[in-house]
Order: sequence, then structure tokens, then C-alpha cells
Amino acid sequence: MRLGLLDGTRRGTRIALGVVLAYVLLAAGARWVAPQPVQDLRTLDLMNSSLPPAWSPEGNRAFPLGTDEQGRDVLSGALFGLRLSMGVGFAAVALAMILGVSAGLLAGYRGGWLDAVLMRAADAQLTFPAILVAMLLDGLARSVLPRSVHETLGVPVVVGAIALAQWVPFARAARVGTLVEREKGYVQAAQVMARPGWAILLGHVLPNVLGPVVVIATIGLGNAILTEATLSFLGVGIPPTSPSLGTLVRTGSAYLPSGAWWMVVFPGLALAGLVLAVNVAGDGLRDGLDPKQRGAVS
Amino acid sequence: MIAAILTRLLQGVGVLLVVGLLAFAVSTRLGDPVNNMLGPEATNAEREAMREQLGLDRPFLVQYGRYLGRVLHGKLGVSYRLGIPVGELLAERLPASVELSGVAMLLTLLLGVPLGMYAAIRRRSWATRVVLGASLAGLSVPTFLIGLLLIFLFAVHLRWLPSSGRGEVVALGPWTTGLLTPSGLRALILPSVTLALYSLALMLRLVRGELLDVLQSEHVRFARARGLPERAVNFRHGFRNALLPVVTVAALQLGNLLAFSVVTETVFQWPGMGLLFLQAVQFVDVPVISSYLLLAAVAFVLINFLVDVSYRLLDPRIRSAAGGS
Repeated sequence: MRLGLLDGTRRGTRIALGVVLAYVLLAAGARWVAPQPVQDLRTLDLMNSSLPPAWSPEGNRAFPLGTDEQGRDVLSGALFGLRLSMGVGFAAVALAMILGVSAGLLAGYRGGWLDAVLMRAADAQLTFPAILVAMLLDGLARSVLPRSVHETLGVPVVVGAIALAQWVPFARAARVGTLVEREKGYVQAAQVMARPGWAILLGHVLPNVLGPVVVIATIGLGNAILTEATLSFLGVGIPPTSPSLGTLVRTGSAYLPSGAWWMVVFPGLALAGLVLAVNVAGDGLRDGLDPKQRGAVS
Repeated sequence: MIAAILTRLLQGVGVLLVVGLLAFAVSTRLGDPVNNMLGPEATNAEREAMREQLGLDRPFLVQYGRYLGRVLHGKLGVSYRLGIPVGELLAERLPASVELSGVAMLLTLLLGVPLGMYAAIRRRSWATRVVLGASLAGLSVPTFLIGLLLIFLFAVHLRWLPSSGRGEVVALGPWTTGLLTPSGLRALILPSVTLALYSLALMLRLVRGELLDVLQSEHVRFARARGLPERAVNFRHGFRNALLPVVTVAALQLGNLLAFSVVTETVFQWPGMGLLFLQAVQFVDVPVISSYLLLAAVAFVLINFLVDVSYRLLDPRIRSAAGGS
């Protein structure tokens, strides 16, 4: 299947996609790229704590971007944090996409009360910002689950919360697409041939509504990564035992007043660069698909 | 028109009842209030008496009804963490949040709309490129990072502005305001800029996008062909027609500001409701969580309702048509 997504996209979009790809490779290869295996606590040495980046007078060549208060290499920490942040972002968007597209396909194809219920739910969902939804779910999970279980379930809870906050645009796009496709000859031909509903939906309708879904997924990925980072920064997301980029900024921010800017700035820049690249790519992909919307956001 | 508004109002009440049910379920079903109040040594008879006294032996719907009655009288329970009635807590924290979000909203509108119009009218100028690039960065750099960097630059490094708190506040009846003292105003600068940047960037890009669309439409081209002055074309024919989505998004952004104030209030230790909510989530302070949930729901339903009504007032095409979300 060829979506022709890159046709007519601008150079900026291609560069952004390249940057995203580079991020993916860096995150996937964190274990081999990172100078220090920061997950192994035995490699940490308190003698190396709070070192500034290598280019400043007190810096150490072994730690190019400095170290945190426990002597952890900031570059390595950021690489592993990036892996977690991107993992959570991709997982959350994938889940939101599955939930949303299924709901949209069903609502559009079946119509009737199912459509009404699902779309009212979508309206209600849209009134609540993602961060509040995610914080509430996390609060609920905290109050229901014992502490140790909550720590191990931290990542799934965050993924679920972000997905729940993001399924609506997918559902709307899939529903509108389905409403259009449903009336077309090939779907009606399949219906006449008495193919089962699920087969028509998955085999015929789904591939034809995927174009906008891909664009929403790209834009949603930037939002998901931002939401995860914000939750982790607030201390209600990923448990601190496996720090994501947001957690790194959170722990580093305690040392900001004493002038240790590198613990905050480098993980923060990695995060901002990633979201920027994803947003530019998403914007460009949408323009490629829908030239009318050029320049608007969301 | 009136029927449509009434329908929307009823839908809003429906949403509130559902959220209220959720808040009720959270506040009573999580943990056993009898155990919390009596401790483990109580006898079964004492428990039963307590249960009866609290009305916990009644059917679920009766309990829910009573809960709604209490909420409507402003009795929201007592915070587990602070031992203060939640109503008092919220009333004490509300002014800080409202002032912060209000100033941020003002910044968003006063800067976002003119910049967006400029970017649409002078499409190819270098200033437009700078503004658009900066707005893309504003959408991509997380709010908490912007706040931290501003603190580092202006509070730690330059020592121009305070890094946390509200400064001196003046009490006007039950309302405390930081807008009347120099230290209060200084304390407001960094948090409100931090909070405003994201919605400012969004507003700017939206105004530009809408205006670009309108400026290419038939009636604007016709106005131009008639030889009307550029100013009249841009404002009377262009901007007025781009206004509708702008009003919608501005109202919806108010809700987002409420959500993001959690982040900003945390970074700047701003004593508002967002910080209260975050601490409640961390300490599993159920009465505060459920009350905040209710309050947020009321705010969002109200905002959505007003958006809907303003839509109908501003756009004659929707007045007759049914629905449209």
C-alpha cells in the first residue's frame, strides 16, 4: 500500500522526518551509544557528582555533558531517558489509534445509537485537557493499587492515560472517512456479496481512511511525548527508578538554584528538539495531504 | 435558537451529573470511611452504628442524591492531608489561579491576535518568518522547561525577579489580590509569561491560518477588485470573518490554561488550585481530588456552553441548523 505521504512535501518536512528517524535510532541504540551504562548503579561514582560539561574548566572529558548529583553521565542519562520517553509516546499513540480508529469505524459504519453514544463520549472527552485526564487516572491508580504495584505499573498507567486522552481525533477522522466510504460502490458490492461486517471494515474501509489517521498520529506523537514529560516532571508519571526525560528535568531542577544548569538544559533540549521535529513533520505531512489547511495548527 | 440552547444546557447538566457520579464514587468507594474514622479497634456494633449515622446503609442512589445535596451546599468534605474543609481550601486558592490564568489569557489575546494578523497580511516578510519560527518553538518546548529556564535566567542569574510565590497580597473581602502591590506584580511576570507562551503560539498560528483562508475567498477578492483601501479589506472583510474560530479557540484555551496552570504553579510554587490538586494526587487526598474534578467539570461545561452560544450569536448560518459540535 502506497500512501504517497512524501509527495509534494517540502524540504523542511523531509529534514524533520530525518531528525525523528535519528532520534529513533539513538533511542533504540542507547545501550551501545551511551558512554556510561547508567542503569547499572555500580558504575556511578560520587566523586564525579555535579561535574559541569567537558568544555568548562572543571569539566571531565569522560562526561561530555557533565554529571548529575549522583555522578551519572548526563548524556547517557538523556539517551536512556529518550528511549523511555519515545517508547511511552509511541505506545500511547498506538493505543489511542487502535481505540479511536475502532470506535470511529464502528460509529461510522453502524450509525444509530452506537454512533450517538460514541460521539457524545468523544465530545465529553474533548472538554477535559489531556494532562488533567492523565493526572486523574494516575491519582485513581494510586488510590486503588498498593504502592509497590503502582510503581511497577507506572508505565502502563501513563500509556493508558495518554491514550485515553487522545483517542478522539482518531475516532472523528475514522468516522468521517467511513461515512464517505460506506456509500461507495466497492463497499456496497462487498455487502451484496454478503461478506461479514468486520471483513468489510478491516479489508475495505480501513485502508481507505488511514491517510488522515497517519497525520493525526504524527501530531499526536508530539503531544503524547509532551504529556508524558509533563506528567513525569510533575512526579505523577513514570516512577523515578527508570527516569524519562521529564523525570531527569525534575530531579535536575532541584540543583538549578545552585547554578547546575546542565542537568536541566540538556535533557530539556533533547525533549524540545524531538517534539519540534515531530511537530514540523506532522505539519508538513498534513500540508502534503490537505493543502487547504496550510499553516494552521490542530 | 432557544430550544437549541436549552438542549445544550441539559446536556451540560447531564455531563455534570456523570462527573458528579464519578467524583462520588471516588470519594466514597475508595477506602472505607468507617475504618478511617474509627480505627481497627472498633467493635462491629460501633461500626454498624457509625454506618447508620453516616447513611452508608442506604441504597447507592440515595447516597448519591445526598452527596449532590451536600455539594450544592458547598460541603465538599475535609482534606485528609491538611484537615481543613475543602471548600475553604479552594476559596483560599482560587484568586491566585484566576489572576494567573487571567493575565496569561490577556497576554495571549493582546499579542497573539495582532501577531497572527500581521503574519497573514505580510506573508513573506522576514518578521513573519521569525514570528512563525518562534511560535513553532513555543509549541514544542515544554511549559515546565520554559519556566525553569526563565527562573534560571531572571531569578538565579540576573536576580531581577522572584522565582516563587505570589509576593505581597492585599485582601479585598474574601478575595486576595497580588495585582495591587509592586512585589505582587513582579511575582506575576515570570509565571504568566510561562503559562501564556503555549496558548500564545497556538492563537497566533490559528489567527494566521484563518485569516489566510478568508483573504483568499471570493468576497475579499471582490472587495480588493472594487479598489477598497487595503486596511478596510483586511479588517472589515478579512478579520471579521476569521473571528469565529478565534473566539472558540480562545474560550477553549481558557480551559487549557486551567490545566497547564498545574504545571506553572508547580514550577513557581504559586499557591493556586493547580498546585493544590497536584499535591492532592500525590498524597491521595481523595476529597480534594474529587472536588477539583467537580470544579474543573463545571468550568469546562460552562466554557463549552458559552462557546456554543457565542457561535450561534456570531454565525447566522448555525442559528437555524441543528446541532453542530
